[in-house]
Amino acid sequence: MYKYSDVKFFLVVNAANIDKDFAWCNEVKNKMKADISLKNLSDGYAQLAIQGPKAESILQKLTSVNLSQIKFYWFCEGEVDGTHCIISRTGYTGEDGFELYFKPSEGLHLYDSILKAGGNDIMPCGLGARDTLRFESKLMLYGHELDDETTPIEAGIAWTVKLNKPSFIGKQILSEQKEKGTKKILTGLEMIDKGVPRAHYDVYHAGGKVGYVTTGAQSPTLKKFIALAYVPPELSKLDSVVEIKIRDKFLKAKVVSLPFYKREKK
Amino acid sequence: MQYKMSNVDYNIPEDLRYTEQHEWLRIDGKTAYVGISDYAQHESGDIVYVEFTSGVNQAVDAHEKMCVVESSKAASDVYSPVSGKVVTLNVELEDNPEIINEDPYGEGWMFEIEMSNPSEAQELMTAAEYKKFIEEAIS
Repeated sequence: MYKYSDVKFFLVVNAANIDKDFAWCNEVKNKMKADISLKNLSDGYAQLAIQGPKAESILQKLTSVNLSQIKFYWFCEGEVDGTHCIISRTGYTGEDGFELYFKPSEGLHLYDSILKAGGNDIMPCGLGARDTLRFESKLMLYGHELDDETTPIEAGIAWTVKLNKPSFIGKQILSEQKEKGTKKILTGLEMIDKGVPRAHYDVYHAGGKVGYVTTGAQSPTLKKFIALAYVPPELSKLDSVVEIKIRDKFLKAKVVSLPFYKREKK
Repeated sequence: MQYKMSNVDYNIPEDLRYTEQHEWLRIDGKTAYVGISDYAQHESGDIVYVEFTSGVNQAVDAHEKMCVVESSKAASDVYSPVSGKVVTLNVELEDNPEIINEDPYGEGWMFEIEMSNPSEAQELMTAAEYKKFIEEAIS
């Protein structure tokens, strides 16, 4: 969510959930009889993300905006190679980087100028690579770690919710969970036995099903088979051993700390 | 400027036979060696895990599952293109699955079958047919 002012916000939602999220916002607006205006501007924006330690120096070649002045998770508006953009020091890779928002018709132009500016220091990559990076850094993906049935407390992102506010949707249940704990908690696992854990595989302990994998892969950075999984809190302690059912085998995995990977801060 | 990531020339050796599941078959008398094609390894991405589901001396039918290959993207099964008896499994791949990416037609071979019905192999695609098959799949 981008905050322009106390009364103007720009929401960037999961592209697969645009209609669902917009409908929900409208529903809340109507229920609360809120004096706000909501616009779905999705068709008017495209986005490119430039991610990695060289993102700033590459992008700086294309803009007069002083990028070093934009703090992590802040943004401004400005021109990039002649195109008006929202320039945001954000991303979903666990690395430093920028996200640019602009008119869709400017997409090809910006794509080409960014790749040209990056030369040998940049390459195009798709969602597969992005998914690996966000997973290693424990960044949530809707439909995996997050869904309609999961709260931020369970997902281990309680920091995104400020419980001391007078009221907000879900405050009661979130306060209860924060106080009393939850039945499931997002946990990092590393395979002890050899196998590739994947989303939706079940997690077992002492002969019973206790949870499920939300994302799993071989981490290219760590060269280990790792997974994010929901398990009961009592099994989420470091070095606890559980089993992941991979095809017809029950393979051992141990709890490790999250995130799996953290970039070194400058 | 064009950035065609998929514009890759795939290696399709002339002396092999191919299946629609992208296995290759090298015929040596009554024996056949099987692996996955250069196209298949490229499409899979980095192969990180191999597990044989069949054992040496086991009888297999054509299209029977022989092993699971997992890449950074997905898990997929490899089938025996022909019926016969399993002679050798390339178990080296279990420890070094990346060999399949590096040398799919050489060190990356997967298993050896003693064919019980060698005529099955003649029904598989030739290199020219397989090339056409891939071209149609890509376009």
